[in-house]
Amino acid sequence: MAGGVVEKPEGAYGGSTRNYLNETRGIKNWIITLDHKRIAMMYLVAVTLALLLGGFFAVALRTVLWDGAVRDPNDLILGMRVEQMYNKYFTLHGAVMVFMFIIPGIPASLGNFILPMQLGTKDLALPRINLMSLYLYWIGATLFVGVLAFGGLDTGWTLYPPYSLDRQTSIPLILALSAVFILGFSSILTGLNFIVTMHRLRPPGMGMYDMPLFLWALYATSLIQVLATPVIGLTLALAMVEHMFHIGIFLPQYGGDPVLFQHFFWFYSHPAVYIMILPAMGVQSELIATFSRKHVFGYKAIGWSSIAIAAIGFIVWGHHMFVAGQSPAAGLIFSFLTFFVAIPSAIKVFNWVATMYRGSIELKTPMLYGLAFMYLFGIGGLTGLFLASIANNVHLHDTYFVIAHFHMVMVGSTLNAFFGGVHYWWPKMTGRMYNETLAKIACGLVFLGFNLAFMPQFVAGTRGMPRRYANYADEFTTFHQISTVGAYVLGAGVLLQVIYLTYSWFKGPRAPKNPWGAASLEWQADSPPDFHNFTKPVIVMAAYDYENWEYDPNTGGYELRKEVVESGRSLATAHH
Amino acid sequence: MTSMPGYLDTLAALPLARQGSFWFPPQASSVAAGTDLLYDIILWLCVLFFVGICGTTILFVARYRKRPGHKEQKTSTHNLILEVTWSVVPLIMLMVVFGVSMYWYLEMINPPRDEKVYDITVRGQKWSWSFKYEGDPFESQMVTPRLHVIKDQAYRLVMDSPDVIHSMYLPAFRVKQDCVPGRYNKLWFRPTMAGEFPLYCTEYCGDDHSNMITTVVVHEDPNAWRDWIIKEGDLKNQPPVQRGQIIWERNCKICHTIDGKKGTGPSFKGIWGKEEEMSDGSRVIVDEAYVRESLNEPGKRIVKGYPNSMTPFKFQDYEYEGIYAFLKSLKDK
Repeated sequence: MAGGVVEKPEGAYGGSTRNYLNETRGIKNWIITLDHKRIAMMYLVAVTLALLLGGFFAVALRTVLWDGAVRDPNDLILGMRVEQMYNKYFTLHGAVMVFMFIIPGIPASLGNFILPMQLGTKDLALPRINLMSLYLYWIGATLFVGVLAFGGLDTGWTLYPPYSLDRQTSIPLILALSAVFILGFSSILTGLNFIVTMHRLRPPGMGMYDMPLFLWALYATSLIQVLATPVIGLTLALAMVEHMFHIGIFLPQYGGDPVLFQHFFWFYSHPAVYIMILPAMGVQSELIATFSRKHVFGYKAIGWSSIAIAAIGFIVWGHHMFVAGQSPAAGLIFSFLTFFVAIPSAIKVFNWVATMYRGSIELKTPMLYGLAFMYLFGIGGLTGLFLASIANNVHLHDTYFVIAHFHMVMVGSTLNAFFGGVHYWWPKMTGRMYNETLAKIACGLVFLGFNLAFMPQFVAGTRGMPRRYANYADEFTTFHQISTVGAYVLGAGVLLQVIYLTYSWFKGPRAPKNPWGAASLEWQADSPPDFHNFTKPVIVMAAYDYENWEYDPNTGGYELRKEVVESGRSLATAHH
Repeated sequence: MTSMPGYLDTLAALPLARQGSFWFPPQASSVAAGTDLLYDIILWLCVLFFVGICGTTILFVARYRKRPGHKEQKTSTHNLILEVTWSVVPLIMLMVVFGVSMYWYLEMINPPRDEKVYDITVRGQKWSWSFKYEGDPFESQMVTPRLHVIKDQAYRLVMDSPDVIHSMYLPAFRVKQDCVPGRYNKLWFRPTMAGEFPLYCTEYCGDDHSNMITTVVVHEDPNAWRDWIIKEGDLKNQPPVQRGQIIWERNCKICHTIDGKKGTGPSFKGIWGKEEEMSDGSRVIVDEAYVRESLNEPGKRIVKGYPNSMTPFKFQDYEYEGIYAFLKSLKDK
């Protein structure tokens, strides 16, 4: 049977409440654990803290922008000029969110927990490497805290030279470059681990096409992490060498070219955008199928479109340099290629909609996030067309239109899917149920906040509001103030989540094994799972065959049908 | 005379800054109408798809919502014809959009060949803009803080920066190009509407990025254009103190106050002749030699407690004289 299954008699631990959370106790046993579930939970706590830190800066910078219309450039707040304060806030907001939350977010927390369980196996293929990824994340995160301690940084998360490298106080810069470098290795190791695990630890009877689509998405993500992340590592190493030893690479005064940095930077950071969105799409596939109780429509199309997005993502980086002085021919080619990203993205959306056709749609909290994803990704994806069109991009480049677009994709979609995924797998991860009413209120606040914060920015941007501005012309005041209100609403929604989820972890009602009737293998484990994941042999079945499960009013969740348990086989075989 | 930090009020007061549609600023260049039309086409395509996707989603949620007596039905798990259709049809639409986009982009980057195209040299530096004109009456000695152009005339801008990357953005013209240190970037446009429009920096360049704003003035009458350039650009005929004050307003004011308030750099009030402590501990008397050095090589000796963020300046002799005179005049106040 599938690797690592340990059979235990019922009630062996006195009431069978023994699980990975209480198998051993003490901080030391968490820090040196090789258990993917514990590592995942530590990641989940860490990325949530990063989210809150990045969110704090977001709310802070939106507060500065409340009355940015007319202000004396030399006004001081807390002994600092408003502009300097704002520049640090937006830099730290971007850097913390990108490198510490969105990139590791879904793969390292949810992926780490769920991936081995969806394969019906005990752990990732390389548990020690997994722990090392976590340590590297911690080291990188600590260095970032160091950046804050040494006065912060005002380079923008994009770190464009000459501005970023040509400076007097270099400690925060060197700390930030090292942090991103080290976080990159954490990301590479996680990706590598996932790829190896999906190739080597699939149970007998599960081909690549039988894996849940979340895993296809993680596979595509991992490919990008392994192939693209070294480029940013090299770029930052070059930048550091140049900054410390004045070797000409990116700085014109030493004979370098600043645009070269942009090429290197975006050769990683554009694919990185898909590191952020692909896992979210994977979560989305699970949510829509489960809560519609329907086999996902167009399985292969969704799976391969993930790979296609990853592949196309590597050849569109030049659209970040349309006005930087790259040749017009290159601009046209990059514009042309960029349009192709739209096709696999659209295919996914159409397939999700088609999946819902004639289903039985249950509007639980995770599904509400799934529906919100459809809307936010719809806007985020479609507004990408304006930017792909090079003639419009020249006007919209570096305006609020771009900010609104990528927040709709990176944040609207990814953060929504992250929340959806956390709520979906929360009963499995913690063994507890959260308060459904509070969860729906929080979901509503997040959705409302998003729209208030970012919809006005599309208009402001088209009307010519440049990004990274502490001050702005009076005509933009209304747009900015609506955005700021939106940021507060969004922040309230996120805080509410943190509160009721934390509460439920300790005091929430016990969760059944499979509260949603989902069919992928992780739901055959107990909630929370045993230290060894599965206490009974896993019955390998296709990820979307929901008829194997039936509702049991006694447990409040779904149980495998008797005939499935007895035969050890799925009732149906999948036809994708 | 337009002074730098006053521009925000100026912008708000401009009648044309408030014109344009819900989405767009005024269409004041030869490419604006075309690219706006393309924007509208994409917008309606997006609306079509967005309403389709969200409408269908809402419809399905309403019709197939879990309720007593309703059960899911098995449907086909894939359908090749359907999937190919919804991939190919959008692809064709996007290729049409790309084609139109390419047409307008080529218009944007290729200046006309059959007429005179006037060159303007643009320098973006922390944190101000300066413009030099081809064929002005003082042989390019005149530098203006606002960009002056004549309606319906084609202009080619040659742009650079002595410090970090800036980007010149003219929303009303729908054009933008980065000023990259170490290379010359080019941009052309033809203004089609008289008036004064905002000109922004759109590449983040440090503390006063959001204050690096000026305007482009489109003149109907070539004589008015010439008069304005002389009015703003001819500093030679001003008395030295006023000359220095104008230079300060355009280039220094954003960081150096004259009322004693601390800015990005030290205030100029009473600075002339003062002994300042440098970041390396040495002491320097602020005189012609130090001011000149600070203008040309600002990073060499920095007053203690201030960041090394000043951009280098190169001036004409009569301009240096004006600066010294102005600083001296502040000593007595």
